[in-house]
Amino acid sequence: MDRKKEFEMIVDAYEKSGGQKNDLLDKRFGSLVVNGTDVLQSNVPEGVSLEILSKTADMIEVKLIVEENVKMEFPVHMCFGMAGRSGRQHIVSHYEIRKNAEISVLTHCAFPGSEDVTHIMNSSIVLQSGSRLEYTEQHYHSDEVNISVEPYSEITVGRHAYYSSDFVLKNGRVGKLKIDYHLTLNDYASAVLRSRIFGKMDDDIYLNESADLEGKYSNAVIKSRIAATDNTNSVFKGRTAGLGDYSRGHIDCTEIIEGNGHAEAIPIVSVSNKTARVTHEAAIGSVDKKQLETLMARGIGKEDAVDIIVNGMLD
Amino acid sequence: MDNILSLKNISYSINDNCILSGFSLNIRENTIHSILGTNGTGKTTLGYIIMGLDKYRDIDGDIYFKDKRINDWDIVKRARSGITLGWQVPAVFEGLTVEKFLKINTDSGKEIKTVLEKVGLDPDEYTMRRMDSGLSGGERKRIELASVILMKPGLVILDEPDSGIDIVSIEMISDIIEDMNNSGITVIIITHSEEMSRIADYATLICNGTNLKTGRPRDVADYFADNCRTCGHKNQPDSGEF
Repeated sequence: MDRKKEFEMIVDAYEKSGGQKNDLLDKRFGSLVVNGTDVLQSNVPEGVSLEILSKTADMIEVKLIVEENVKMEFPVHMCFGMAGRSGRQHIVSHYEIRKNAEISVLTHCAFPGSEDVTHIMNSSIVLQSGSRLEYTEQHYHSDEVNISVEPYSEITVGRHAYYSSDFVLKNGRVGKLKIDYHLTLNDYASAVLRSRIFGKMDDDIYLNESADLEGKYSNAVIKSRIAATDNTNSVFKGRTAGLGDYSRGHIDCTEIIEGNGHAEAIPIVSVSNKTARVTHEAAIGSVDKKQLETLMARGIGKEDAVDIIVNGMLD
Repeated sequence: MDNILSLKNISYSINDNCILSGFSLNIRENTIHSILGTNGTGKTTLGYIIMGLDKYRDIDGDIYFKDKRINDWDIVKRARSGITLGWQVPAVFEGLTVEKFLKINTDSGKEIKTVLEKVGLDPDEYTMRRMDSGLSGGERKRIELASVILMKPGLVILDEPDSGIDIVSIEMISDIIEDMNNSGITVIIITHSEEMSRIADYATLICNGTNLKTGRPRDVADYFADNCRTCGHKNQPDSGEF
């Protein structure tokens, strides 16, 4: 397949995952489009450096640096896919957000026309003091693909820095998903880890997210919303550890099951500093009957009503 | 004037606890009809039975809507035929925006804007608000009324439309109900408020799951105020005088 065709397939799938095609083509926005390990497009805005550190047949290692005090007006768009290919794609990424820099990164992972894919993302993210990174990762998997997705992230949030992530997989099937995110927060640092996942068919969802609140007055929220429909199996493990003085942490997990779905939530809260406080809430159950009947009383069929409720929860 | 709804000899029990006992009532088309009664008399249950909610379809007696027997119809079929329900405490939807909720019954953004204004909510402020616990019960109630207006049903059952509404807004809710009725919707108001009952064309006093009295709202409301408010038998009519 030629590169142009591959690019079109990736962009098409990028739009299905919630992206806007024009954002990839707009020169004001930073962008990186990778098919397999081939870089199809790269646009690096001023104040940012994006470097390919190494590359093999199935692995590509990239490093993104935002220079000190640079505040990016527009987000950087990254698109990783495997257009028409099967096999393994391993993305190793390093993010370094230097002092007082600010950036948002939208990553789209799409696998159009693929049959069998293993997609691994290993990220190390370092936010220096006073910096800010808003990271969104949206996936689109077609219903036909046999896919395994394994994102691992180690995130260090410096003094007074802010990090947020939002992992979204609502369109198409999930396949096998294993998320492993770990946060370490320094003094006055803040972070939010959010995940929104809609499991269908025989999807297998496993989330392991943790936050070590090492710094004084650091705070973190781990928030997950998962729908486990059909024969989906879902396990959420969230851990927050209150270590620093007056640190605050919270885990908030809601899982809806439908059909033969199975869901587990394992929140772990630990505190080893008497001024710290961490809390959790977890709710698992079927779709709320009153919500369902409200929509059905407006003439919406049960399946559509469930879709509206679940998608609302994941929005 | 034709009857849009006829309830014939409806009886309903939960765990051998009789909630409705031989309840009969005709609702005339294009009217407002209030069902008045104290707490626990079976008013809400009656509304759920008419709507056909899951646990309220195993009943004795017959329900006719526009001359068709609908006992076997599920909630969706009844809704698509023109029956709907406004809850006493509307559901909380995490994430769902007011706009998406209202789009269930219309694709027109202009119509949504108009209907929000009609129920006293600023469209600029409320369209993108989420239907979660960030909205008060009163705000959710107005949004629910907006969704009923957009659905344009033949018959709506409004369960305690004045509960959770501040006194100033009750008049507005009454106006909305009258507007609905003027647009051709038959309205059943379930209430324990004589005041709310007075906006109706007809009223029925329900006690202990039976139709105690049906007539002019003023007469029924006066009877309710004079007798039911002070009644000690608390839904056990056999044990006391009406």
